[in-house]
Amino acid sequence: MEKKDIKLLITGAVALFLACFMAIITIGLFAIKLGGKAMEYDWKGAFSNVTGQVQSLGD
Amino acid sequence: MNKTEYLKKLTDELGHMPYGDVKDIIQSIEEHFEEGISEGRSEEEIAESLGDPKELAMEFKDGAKFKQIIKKRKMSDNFKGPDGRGRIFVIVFNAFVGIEMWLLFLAAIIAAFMFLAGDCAIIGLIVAGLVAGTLMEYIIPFIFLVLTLICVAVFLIVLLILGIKYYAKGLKSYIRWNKNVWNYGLGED
Repeated sequence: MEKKDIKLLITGAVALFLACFMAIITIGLFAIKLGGKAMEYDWKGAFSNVTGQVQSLGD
Repeated sequence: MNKTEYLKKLTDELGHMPYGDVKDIIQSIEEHFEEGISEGRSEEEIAESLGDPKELAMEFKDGAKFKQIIKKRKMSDNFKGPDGRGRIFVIVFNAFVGIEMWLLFLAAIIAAFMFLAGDCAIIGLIVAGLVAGTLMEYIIPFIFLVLTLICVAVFLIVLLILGIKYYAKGLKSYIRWNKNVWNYGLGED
């Protein structure tokens, strides 16, 4: 294997390592952001609406 | 042609090779002459068995070692026609293993290329979304996602460059090996 190829291989390995590292951070950031959204969401209201619709279907 | 004449012609033909390599080649050929003389052969006979200095120089320039050249010469001297078993082996091996293996590697290279294209397309879409302002709510996670995808793209580019280079090299050697087995057999009895 030539020296140039070894340099390329090291670049690829570093890029793969960075990609994995960044992916973990990205997943974490999305989880925080979406988690915050989920906390703010009006679950009670949404479910009461659905309950009302199901009840009206029954009647 | 005697030893001195042969070595002179060979040195002239090797002219453009590095000095160290030429020195090693001349030394190994001198040793070959000495061995032959000790076995009772004349300088002319040994020179003749080595063949044309120009052809020998070409083989050295192709990167062959002296021992390999001598082995090849002996093989071709003992060669009694194509080996039927070798040809059957080439056909069967290529039908069930060889061609499939190379196609599989080719598929892997094409898959890597398509992954790269997809990766670049996603980067483009996210950047466009960020510029247009539709993804502004999630700007930080999306910036990190773009950085991740750029790293993946770099990895895939490296993989493709090395993959294509070694695929071509490997295929070339594989074809050479096939030709050798086809023409000279498997070399074992």
